[in-house]
Amino acid sequence: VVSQVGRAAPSAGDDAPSFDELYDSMWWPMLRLAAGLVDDRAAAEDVVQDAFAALYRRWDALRTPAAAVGYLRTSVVNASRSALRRRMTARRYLHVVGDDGVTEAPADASSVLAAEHDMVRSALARLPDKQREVLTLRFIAELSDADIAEATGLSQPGVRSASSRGLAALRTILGGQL
Amino acid sequence: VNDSEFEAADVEARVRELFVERVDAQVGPRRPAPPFDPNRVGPRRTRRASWVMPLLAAACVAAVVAGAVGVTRVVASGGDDPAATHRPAPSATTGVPTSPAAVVPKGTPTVVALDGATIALPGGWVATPVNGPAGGTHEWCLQPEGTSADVCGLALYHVGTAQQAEFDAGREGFGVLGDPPQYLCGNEPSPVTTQDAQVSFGGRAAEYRLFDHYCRASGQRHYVVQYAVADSPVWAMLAEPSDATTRGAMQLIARDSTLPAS
Repeated sequence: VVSQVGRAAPSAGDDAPSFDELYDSMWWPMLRLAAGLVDDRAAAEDVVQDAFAALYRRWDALRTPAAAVGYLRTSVVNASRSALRRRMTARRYLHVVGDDGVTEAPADASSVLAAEHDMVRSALARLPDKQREVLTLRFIAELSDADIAEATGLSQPGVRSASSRGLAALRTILGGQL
Repeated sequence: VNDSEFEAADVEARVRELFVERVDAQVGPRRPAPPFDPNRVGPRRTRRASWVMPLLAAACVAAVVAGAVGVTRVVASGGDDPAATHRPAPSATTGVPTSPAAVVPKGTPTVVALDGATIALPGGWVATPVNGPAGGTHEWCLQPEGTSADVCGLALYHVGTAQQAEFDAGREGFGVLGDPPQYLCGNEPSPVTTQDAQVSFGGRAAEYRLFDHYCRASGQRHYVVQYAVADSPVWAMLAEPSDATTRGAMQLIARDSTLPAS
């Protein structure tokens, strides 16, 4: 099987997906995951394209097709961290946001839904990186603790701890607003 | 299921719902993947945002200033690179190394009983249970009363028997409880130097480790400090990263607490 971009499927079996098939099936879930992490669609699209580009370069070296999805998730998490760090650096120089580090409110801030999303976004921005990542991987990608551990580099107890603390912090921050 | 557990599950469900709605609002309805761009594999495609040029200009100014300061410091110090010359303090055999500094709190400690141990905390501190680790491990966050619950600077562990096989007193985060270094220095490579010592923790022999992370990009140092009583019952303390106050608190806790005997 040779993909449109010239990559053969891994040799693990005839039913192994090609790079193109994986790209078609996983692009959307990875975009949603990246959007949850970087909170910006254009940045999320860049993150996902970079992740697939990195996978493309390593395609022949993958142990199994299953490893490709884990590799993608880890790439998306790492690239999202880098994107956020670049964004924070830019903000420090230009002072384009307030002290809370939250981006500007959506245009339709009068609607209850937009207000709730803004509230959650503000609350998430106050969480430590690892708690925000773990909750996003849990809620958006619906991953198991083991998969989250693989994607973030945390231990499984570390994942549970970050998840528990993140939720506790969100309950504290959001208070009775939910 | 009591009321508070029900309420917690309810809040989690609502938070999950809002997470999903927030992402859905950003990405819109499902659409097929755009064509994969093999050219992206080559030179990285960049979007030059409006802030790039001012940022580059600021970075150039900062680089010139940093270079001038760096030259001054190198000349003043005889030409050595500060990062390269950093060496761990000599390992102590009976106590905690004196560098980096620690501020040991004075005054009457607060004493709490946890799993058969008597833990002495700096005055005004509390031990809050954390429902984190599995394997029968109990964890408490030790911090000044009223401190925000979302950041735990110092954790105390009574390690469960199921997790003791994986527990390694010599590894950062004991191999099973800590975070990977990427949370200290982003994804940048961070040279790590280690200090170690044999100390007493709660009247029992313990391993002390300090992992000194130097983040090249920011120039910052982060000190991960841990104490571990490796024989059953296993107890451990971990601060990642630590400051002088936390390190001082750890010294007080190690010195004035009493752990169950092996």
